[in-house]
Amino acid sequence: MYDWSPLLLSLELALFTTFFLVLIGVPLAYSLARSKSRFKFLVEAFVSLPLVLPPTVLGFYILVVFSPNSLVGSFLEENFGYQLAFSFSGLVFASILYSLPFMVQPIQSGLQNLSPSLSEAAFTMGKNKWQVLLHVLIPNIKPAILTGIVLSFAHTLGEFGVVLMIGGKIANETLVASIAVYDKVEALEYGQANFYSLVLLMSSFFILSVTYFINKKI
Amino acid sequence: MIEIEINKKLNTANGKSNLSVCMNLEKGDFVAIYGQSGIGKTTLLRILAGLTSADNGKIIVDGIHWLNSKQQTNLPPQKRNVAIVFQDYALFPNMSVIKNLKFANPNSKLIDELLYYTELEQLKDKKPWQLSGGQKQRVALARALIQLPDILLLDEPLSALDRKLQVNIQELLGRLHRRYEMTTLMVSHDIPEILSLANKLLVLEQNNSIFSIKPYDYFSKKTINNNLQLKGEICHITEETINVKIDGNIYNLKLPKSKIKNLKTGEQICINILDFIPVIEKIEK
Repeated sequence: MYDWSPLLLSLELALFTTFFLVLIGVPLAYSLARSKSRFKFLVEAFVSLPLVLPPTVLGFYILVVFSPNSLVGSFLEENFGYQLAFSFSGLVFASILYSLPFMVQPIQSGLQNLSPSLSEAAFTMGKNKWQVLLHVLIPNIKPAILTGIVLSFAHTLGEFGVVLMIGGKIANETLVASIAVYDKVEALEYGQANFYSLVLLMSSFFILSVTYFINKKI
Repeated sequence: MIEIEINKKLNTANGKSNLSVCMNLEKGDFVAIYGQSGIGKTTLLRILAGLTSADNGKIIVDGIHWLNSKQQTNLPPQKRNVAIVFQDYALFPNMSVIKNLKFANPNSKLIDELLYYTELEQLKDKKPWQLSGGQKQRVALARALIQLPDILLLDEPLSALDRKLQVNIQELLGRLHRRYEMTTLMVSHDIPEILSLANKLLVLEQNNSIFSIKPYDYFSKKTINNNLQLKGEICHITEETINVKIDGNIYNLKLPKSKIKNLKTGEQICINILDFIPVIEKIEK
């Protein structure tokens, strides 16, 4: 009998993470695409850090900052009774940081490829920035947004290092599928490991194929 | 009444220059902006629309200060009643023709009226990528007009179109400008276009600008020729006449013998007709 809970937890984590990333990523990509600030490169470098950084480094620092013994961690726990380390919400938080470039970069480049005259024409029609973003920009970068969503989702499904550092492997709380694979291999249960691996492999391949197929049509 | 006074330093490919413009316009004026490329024509339109800032100056439209650097007023484009037709048309690719208009102004009566005038009724549900250049231009024009702007700005609106379409849209532009009684500023390189549409002319030069009430006066001094010049090919020569082929037609011209002596059949010639009195009739379409 196979235990489905790590897979469901992975799915839940990926859904939550992607949802919040859309909310954060679109405005962030918009302000980066429009910004003419001298310090824009610093924000861009920060957003892209997870692409080059070992996930364990990111996980380590999140753990240091949010552990119950730290300033931020103890503040959150005392005032809100909230603990980020070794909890599901901690995983979501870490995953958002970890997958941020996968959401922001495609959307930012999509926005930069649109002619600036589109926004400017809308401004002269009396529309504000949010109206322009909602009615003019977002509808014209649908493929970029879809790419951002899929990459973030798939990347979160497959993340390992950050989850291990922040979440450990508490069943039904932080034991996601990628960790379960590692766990089962260590316990020499190759059948179980293969089950999780195969589901992850097939679903990732399926998601990417569907995306490329749809993007060709849009 | 529109008062415009603008100064801005420009960094162009040809080095630094100063955009300096001062003019007063009446409602209903059609102003052509003429000048070599890189001189700041588009920048001037952008400053009027509030998309680019000026170093200093003022724009006062019917008593409202859109820009006044002394009072530190600079209204954003949203607060200026201005419409601009960009060189690339800037039609929203995700919206059909009618939705492009609706986004600018939801007044459905006006939408129907403008679709009618611009002959876009059949195309109203098409997306911009399904339209030809001339059709896109008409949509861009209709979308700008539907805003009923105090000032309509046109950035070389006809340059991407072929000559026949240019003339059609020129006529349309003139009709709509009169119908909606707007003040229009149009960047143009095309002298016939300027003469047929504009009643005032702004010529931008390096560090200076010339505002002329009569475009014709400005160009007639510089470029307009009072003589008619025709090019043709000699088909046949007799003692006193030559047959010349001009534009596919053969003309018989009587000339002094001394002139005919130097000509040969097959030669290309240029015929200058000085101080002629033309009799003009319209050609029915």
